[in-house]
Amino acid sequence: MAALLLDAPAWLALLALPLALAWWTARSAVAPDEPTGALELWRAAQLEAPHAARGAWRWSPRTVFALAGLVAACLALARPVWRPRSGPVVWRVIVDARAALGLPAPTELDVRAASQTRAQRVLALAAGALERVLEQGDRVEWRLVSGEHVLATSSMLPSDWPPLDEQRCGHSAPTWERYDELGTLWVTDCGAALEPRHAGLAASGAAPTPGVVTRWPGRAVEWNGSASVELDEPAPLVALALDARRGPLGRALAAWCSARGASLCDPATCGDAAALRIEFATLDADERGAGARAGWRLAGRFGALAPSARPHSVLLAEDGPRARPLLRVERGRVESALEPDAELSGDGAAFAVSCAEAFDRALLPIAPVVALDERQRSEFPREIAPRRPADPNAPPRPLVEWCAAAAAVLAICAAALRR
Amino acid sequence: MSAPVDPTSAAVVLGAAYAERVRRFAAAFAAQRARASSTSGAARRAGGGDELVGHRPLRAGEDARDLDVELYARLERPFVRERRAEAGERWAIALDTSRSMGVGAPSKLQLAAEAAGALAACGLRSGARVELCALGGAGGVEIEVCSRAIEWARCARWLEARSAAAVGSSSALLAHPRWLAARRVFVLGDLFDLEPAQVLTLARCGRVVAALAVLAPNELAPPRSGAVVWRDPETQARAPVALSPAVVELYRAALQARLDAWAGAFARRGQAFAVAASQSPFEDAVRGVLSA
Repeated sequence: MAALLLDAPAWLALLALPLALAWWTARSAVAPDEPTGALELWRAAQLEAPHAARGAWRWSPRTVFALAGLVAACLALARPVWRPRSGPVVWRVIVDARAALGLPAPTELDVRAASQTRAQRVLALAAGALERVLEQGDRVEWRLVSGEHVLATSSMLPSDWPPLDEQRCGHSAPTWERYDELGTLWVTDCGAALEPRHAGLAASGAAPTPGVVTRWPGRAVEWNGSASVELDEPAPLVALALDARRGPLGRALAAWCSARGASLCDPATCGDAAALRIEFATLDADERGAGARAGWRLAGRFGALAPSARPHSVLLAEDGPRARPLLRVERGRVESALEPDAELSGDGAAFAVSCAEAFDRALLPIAPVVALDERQRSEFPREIAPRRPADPNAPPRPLVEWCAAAAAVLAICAAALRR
Repeated sequence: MSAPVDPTSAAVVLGAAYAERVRRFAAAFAAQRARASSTSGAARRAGGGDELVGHRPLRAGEDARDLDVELYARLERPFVRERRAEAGERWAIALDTSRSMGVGAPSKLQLAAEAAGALAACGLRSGARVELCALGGAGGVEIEVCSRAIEWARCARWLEARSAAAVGSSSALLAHPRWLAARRVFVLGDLFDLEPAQVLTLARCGRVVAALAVLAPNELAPPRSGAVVWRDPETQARAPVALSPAVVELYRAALQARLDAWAGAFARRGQAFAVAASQSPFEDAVRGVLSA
């Protein structure tokens, strides 16, 4: 669809000037009362005149030219751009991965939506907004995003986003500016502070929602709407294969579990309930790897870790220029590229401390946690329609020069015309 | 000349300079008439006027009522009294003082009054008895009569006392019986409320009738754009008009047709008709109506 877009729409506020001038001119252009002895001749002339001539413009041409010139000047300042009709478009929907989207949708704003989560409501809003702009051949790509990380993608409406596991991960909001493009729709719960220049926006709105605001093994703090209270919680489960518990990583994990009050379990039995998983890569037969950090060193047979698009950090990297990750930490998971029985050398205590810090970072809460300020937030739903991107094969044509030229010509005409 | 704009306050102001202009104009008119009479003799005729110029033998076909019986008794020859044409004539000048005459800057009444004063001066200079008539404020007819040139100042004062505030139509003014005794009748006004036939009914029995249509600038050349609410000062009726070129052209055509109708009707009867803009000098306007 071809479209006229404005690169600096704020300048359109100056349109108030010609509008005010037009209003003032219209007021002052009240027809003057003039005496004449030839009233009957005027009446006859008006009756005989063509209908179009009878309703002639009341403003003088000079005024019309001046007003049109001002409007053209305002348009020029707003930097209009003509974007030709584009072909099929892949619409990108950036879905906020924060746990707050799993909270109930504000009930006071829409009673029917009382059983919905904010995510369900805003995804329905987004689907409606897209339906209004979709054309034949268009596709939609849904992306669950945290910061700059795309956690998941879908070509169908992901009505179960964000998944519970992702909510437990405590993801941050997407880096919205990175996705401020035409053909993009931002989906979140709180959009009042967001001002996309090119992207569309769908925000579910928010209302204060009591619940857990922080968790640590065995304890939680819940905000009940007016105050925070501390609660007991079950100990978290940490999944580690039985045959890996003898190695240095397994021993460090066991020490950390006893210190934190967590329980070790077999991955096959604890399933999704595990708050932390220690996983080992499939080893290559004849590859070895070694890396050192903070006074300790780990070496053993090596198996490459699968690339991860999720937020993660590397606890230990291979020595040398290749620097392949040997120990990788992400929320809910610690991955080792070395065999479970890798050889630890150097400072064993430093190794235990490094591992404990990594386990603390990676340990998931047993249920999603939403920060207190997010639970207390109150906002109305908001929607900005997404706009179709330009066709890269048909570059946009700036119209600034044309508008400026029109303004100049109109101004000259206004100056040249008799009042 | 003053420039009244508001019809309700439009009055006539005749200054000292005006009196001088009128004097020169009347002198020029008299001189022109004298030259014309000396060459054609047409100005002299038997009977009609009041001023006796002399006697001459009766010509065949002449009205025997002018025969000087006493002279015939003494001389036994028929002589007729010879009189000057204007001598003893009555000039009637009808001045439209209706509210519509207040339109224009200067007002139409200002020029009509100046023309009336000049006509009065010409008439008095020619020995005619001048009667100035206008509608009064109460709808009646107000008349001022001057018989001698020295009385012209009284005519001027009477004219200065006029204002465009009269109620009633010009046709009521023309219906006054005084016109029947006049040899020359001048009708001065915008003539929008009259038809040529109403004025030309006076052009009988050798009576000379002249009409001067005085129009305001915005009546002769209205603006070609914008919007205006035209108002009739007499009826207060209003007509909002968007001044497009098409509408203005239609108006001008209608006005021209009306003026052409007046001019054609007067020309067919050998009478004088002139049109003047209210801001034009009275000399031009008066020359037009004295041409008959």
